[in-house]
Amino acid sequence: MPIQTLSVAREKTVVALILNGRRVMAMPWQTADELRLAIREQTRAARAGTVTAEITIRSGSAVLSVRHEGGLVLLIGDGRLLIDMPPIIAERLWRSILVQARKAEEVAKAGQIALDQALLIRSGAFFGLTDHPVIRAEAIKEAGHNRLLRSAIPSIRSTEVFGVPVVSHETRSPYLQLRDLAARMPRDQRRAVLATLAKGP
Amino acid sequence: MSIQNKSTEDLIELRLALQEDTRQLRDEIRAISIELDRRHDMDVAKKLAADLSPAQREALRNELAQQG
Repeated sequence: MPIQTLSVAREKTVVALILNGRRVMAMPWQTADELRLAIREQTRAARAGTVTAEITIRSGSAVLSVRHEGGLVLLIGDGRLLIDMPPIIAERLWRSILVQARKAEEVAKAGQIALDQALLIRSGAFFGLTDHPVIRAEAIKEAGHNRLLRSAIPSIRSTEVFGVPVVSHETRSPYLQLRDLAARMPRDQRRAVLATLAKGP
Repeated sequence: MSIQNKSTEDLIELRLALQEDTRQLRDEIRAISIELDRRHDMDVAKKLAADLSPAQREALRNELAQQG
């Protein structure tokens, strides 16, 4: 079999499997979570050499099955073998799906997470439920301004500066980072950035 | 002099004065925090700008200029 590339992508709340650059299946985070459990189970069975039933997952019109055969984990889409992989690769795959499914779930439940985080901030418990910058910003806003929270926990002045320390890993290009940073700045500071850009390296 | 020996009026006045001092200190701390944040943002912006190609600089300048 020629070299195959399989990757896991995410667009908002949808997780997609990309095989050789082609999208094989796109699914909501719940289905992605089922898929990673299926792959995990078959990976363990392949390692142990135990017999297990094939697991089938449906998302819209697509059908994806996972089973193991001869020590390999097989992904089968609509009755056709998509890829077979040794357990070590299958394990990396289900872990990637897990990460993306969790991120998608975070986006799907953003409103609730923001409220929960706001409650924590307001009650003084300074630990983060999320490192998603938009959800964190929303939580800080809710902590400061949500009328129900303010009347329930009035001990914190609404003008207090809120924040939760997080470790974030920046993967965007310098261009996008600088563009977003400048967009958040007050106008006079943005002019200073413009002047820096005009000066040249 | 311990606060037990002060009159109620004195304590009320003292509390008001301390509250005012606290308010001023908090305002100063907030102003300092804002300035520190501003400087940090500018440092980051300069570092990011240094990583841009001349074409990207030009494109970003135009984009930011449009935002006003």
